[in-house]
Amino acid sequence: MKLIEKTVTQLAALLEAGEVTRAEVVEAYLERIASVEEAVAAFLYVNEDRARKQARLMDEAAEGGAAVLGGVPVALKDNICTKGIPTTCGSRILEGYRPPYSATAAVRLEKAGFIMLGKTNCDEFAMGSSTENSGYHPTANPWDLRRVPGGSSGGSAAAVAAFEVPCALGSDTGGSIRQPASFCGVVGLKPTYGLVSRYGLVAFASSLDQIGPITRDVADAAAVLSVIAGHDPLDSTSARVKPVDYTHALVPDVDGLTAGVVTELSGEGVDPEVRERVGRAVEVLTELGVEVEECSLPHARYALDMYYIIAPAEASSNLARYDGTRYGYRHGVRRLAGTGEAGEAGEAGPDGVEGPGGGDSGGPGGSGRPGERLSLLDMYVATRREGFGAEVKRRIMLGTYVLSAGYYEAYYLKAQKARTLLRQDFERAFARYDFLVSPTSPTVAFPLGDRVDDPLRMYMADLCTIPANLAGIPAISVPCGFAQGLPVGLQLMGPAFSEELLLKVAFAYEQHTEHHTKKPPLLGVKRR
Amino acid sequence: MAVISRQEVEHIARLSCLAFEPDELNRFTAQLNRILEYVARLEALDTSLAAPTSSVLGDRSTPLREDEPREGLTREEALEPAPAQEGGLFKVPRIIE
Repeated sequence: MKLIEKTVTQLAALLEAGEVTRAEVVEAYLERIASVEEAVAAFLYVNEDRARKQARLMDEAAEGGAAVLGGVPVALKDNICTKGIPTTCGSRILEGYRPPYSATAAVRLEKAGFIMLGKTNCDEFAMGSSTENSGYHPTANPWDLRRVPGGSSGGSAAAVAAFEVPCALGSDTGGSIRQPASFCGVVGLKPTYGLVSRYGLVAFASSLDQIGPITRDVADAAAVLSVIAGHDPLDSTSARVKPVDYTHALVPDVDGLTAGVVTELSGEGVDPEVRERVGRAVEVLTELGVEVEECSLPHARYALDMYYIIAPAEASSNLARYDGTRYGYRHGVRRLAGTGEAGEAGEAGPDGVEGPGGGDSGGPGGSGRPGERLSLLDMYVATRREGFGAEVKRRIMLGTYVLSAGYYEAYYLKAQKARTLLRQDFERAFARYDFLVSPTSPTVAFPLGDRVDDPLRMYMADLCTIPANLAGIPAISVPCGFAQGLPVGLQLMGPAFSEELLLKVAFAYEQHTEHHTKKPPLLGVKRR
Repeated sequence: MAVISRQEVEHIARLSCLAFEPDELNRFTAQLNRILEYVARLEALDTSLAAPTSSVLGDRSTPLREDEPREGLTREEALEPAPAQEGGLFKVPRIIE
């Protein structure tokens, strides 16, 4: 087996035994990135020099006799802040932004010896289900380069599936870890809301966002979760839980557990082939001794409605901060490539702002004639209309509308009340069942370009994953077979803080199947 | 009938600090209407007995920490990513004539 095909667990063992150096591991992945990135385009930034340096320093320390922990490469979704390293959220409005601090999850990985190999592509501000909303470029699915990798953590899932990195972090607001994991044939875990610190995760919808691992097998998901989970005083929604070694949960014994297959997430709107593969997975669980029944979450059929009111409402507020004042893009100001400094020479006017005549656009955001100075409000509007992409604007508009006077009660408050009913559905279900089962996504990966002009159809891709975010519960997607040669994902959902149980079930299932050992062909049309 | 008119979309754009070209405005109006018509299914749901969920942490108490000074970003670090700065401040267009 080639080095790049090793799992996190295997690499950690090889490094600890001194059978391979960190430099060799890092070089192997950088070489892989160099050879497949042109086709996959999973990364927005490859952290080549720093990764090499870190590997070398760790190797030298180990040679000197120090106890050196880890050395396994990891990639981070580009909405996770990394000090001094570009963090764009897939948005032009943050082009060139280098945060002055790192996310807690990134800091914990570094302390545990993980080497940050790069930042991965995503839908702009994590809003999307295909990574096509990236302000930079689309990412291809390693199983079929003409198809989407899913989203919004499509770059992380594609990078792991294409052996460009052994593990990655994503973020999941309505399915953005699980759905791309499903599309790319890898494992994706959305932890309980509050289990992993959101400090340094650029906010999309704060009551739903959660960071989690994307890995090639369940053991690696447990290993990475063990590093990033735990209380963080820097996040006021962080749960006060003791550190847990989730790898202890990896015991393939599920005999006697009870599970409910969620009717509302497994019938209408789900592709028949996907339904069949998930049905086979349920049979495997039964063979392993799990007692399985049909189960109803009556309000799950309204989950998409609730989500597309609540998430845009929170987003419209969170994204008000992008106004060209404190960081990121400002209308009329050019950044000098590579320096991170505002290019005041030449282009910017006396206030660092120029009239529309000298900028790239004199649209409705601008006012007046070329050379005329913009007002503060005009600067905000011009910055936002040029810096944000269409989907982000759509959600800001939708959110502003549902929060505006006269509509707040009909939409936002109504959705929040419905959210309570859905949570109660889950509570009733978990009183009866240890965990719940559904497909992760209603379909396999769809063709690039297929849904970009139809936002509502794109939203349907999150049909099965959204309920877990609304309820704040953990859910994992594991590969459960193929339809039309493309991966299908099985979703397991559990009560709050039941990660150990979910990992145990997922591990037991994985041990009895071989879907996770299949390798993507990286075939198809070279796009770029 | 459309849920939201072109004029309302224009108004929402102003509230959102966004602006659109006429053809964009038409497209957004149509798309927002389709989405709002879809989520209007919620109207049929009886929520009269449910309290709103604004956070799943609802019944966990508000977390408080000791009010102790600690290191934060320096002024230089906070200003470094700014598109324009002067004299240790974020610089914006003039707001008072």
